[in-house]
Amino acid sequence: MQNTWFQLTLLISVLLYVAAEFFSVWRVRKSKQIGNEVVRWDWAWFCYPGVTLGLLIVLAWYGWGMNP
Amino acid sequence: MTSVQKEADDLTESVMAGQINQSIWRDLITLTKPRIIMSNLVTAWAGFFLAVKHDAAGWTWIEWLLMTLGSALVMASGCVFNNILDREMDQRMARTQHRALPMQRMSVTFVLTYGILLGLAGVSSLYLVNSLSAILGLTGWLSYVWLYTYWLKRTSTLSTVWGGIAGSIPPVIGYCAVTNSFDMGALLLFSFLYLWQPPHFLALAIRRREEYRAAGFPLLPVVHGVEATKIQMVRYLAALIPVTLLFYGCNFAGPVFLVTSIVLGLYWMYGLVRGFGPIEEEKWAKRWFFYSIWYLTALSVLLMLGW
Repeated sequence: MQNTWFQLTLLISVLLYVAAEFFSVWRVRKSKQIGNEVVRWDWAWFCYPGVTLGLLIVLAWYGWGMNP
Repeated sequence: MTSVQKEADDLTESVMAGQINQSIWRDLITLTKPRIIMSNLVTAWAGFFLAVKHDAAGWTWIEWLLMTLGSALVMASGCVFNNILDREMDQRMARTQHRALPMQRMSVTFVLTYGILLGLAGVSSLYLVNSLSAILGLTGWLSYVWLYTYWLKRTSTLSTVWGGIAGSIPPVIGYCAVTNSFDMGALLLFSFLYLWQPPHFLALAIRRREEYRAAGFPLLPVVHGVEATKIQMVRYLAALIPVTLLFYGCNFAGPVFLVTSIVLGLYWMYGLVRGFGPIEEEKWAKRWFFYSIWYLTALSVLLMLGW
């Protein structure tokens, strides 16, 4: 039961992660098109994937470790 | 001088001395930022009672009291140091220019001694619970004072992201005070608070961006604008929602928590995405800043109750 929940949560995490990335790229393009302020890239953009993927990996590792 | 005049002067002097005493006490309390301490203590209690419910481990009210006192004192010390390090920038912001140090009502040496004493008392109190709690307290203090306040806050837009480490530690201290081990529960609490902070704090940063700009803080909305900040808020919230699901999956929370976290999380996401449309920015940022506090409080209470 716990493993299934883990797999489901990780699947949701990955889907939300991919959706958030697509959304970000789409918003950046759209803001350029409609003449909003130009969104520039900096380290904060790379921090998000790093932090999120790191957490996902640790959670998965711990989760499966708990109930292999 | 008549005796009546003398009595009147003495009375005036004693009233003034009383007012000065009152003002010193008020400054000493204000320097510790009691509101920040209180909101962090709620999460520390959530961690503590989460561990109690989950492990059915033995605990005493003395441990709870020492954990509460230790966490509060360590946080108070961190906030006092924050006041010292930010005193020049505080002079430039309307919100902070009336604090004790910018107004020079207290000397830096006095406040520094006060901060050190608070920190020592706090870490000692946590050490009486267990050494892991003391180490966590010290880690939180260092990440707040050195990593966030001294280094990143004045140099990088990443201050919100890495500064989040300090804010994520109180619930972990509460949890480890009971379990004395860093396991899945501690990791989930850390992740929950860590991912909650960017969308929470960036809403405040949008609201107060002109003040931060005037003070010279390179926060994300100041350096890269509001649009980029909103995008980051959405991204971090997208990572936060699955973490809340894991509390239920690992038997740390019940179905009420599961449903509430999904509903509140999705509503928050809806609100953030709507922020890209035509809105009053100030009003929008204020609304979702307060919503994030409400969200954290509600979920913390549910975790404590184990529902």
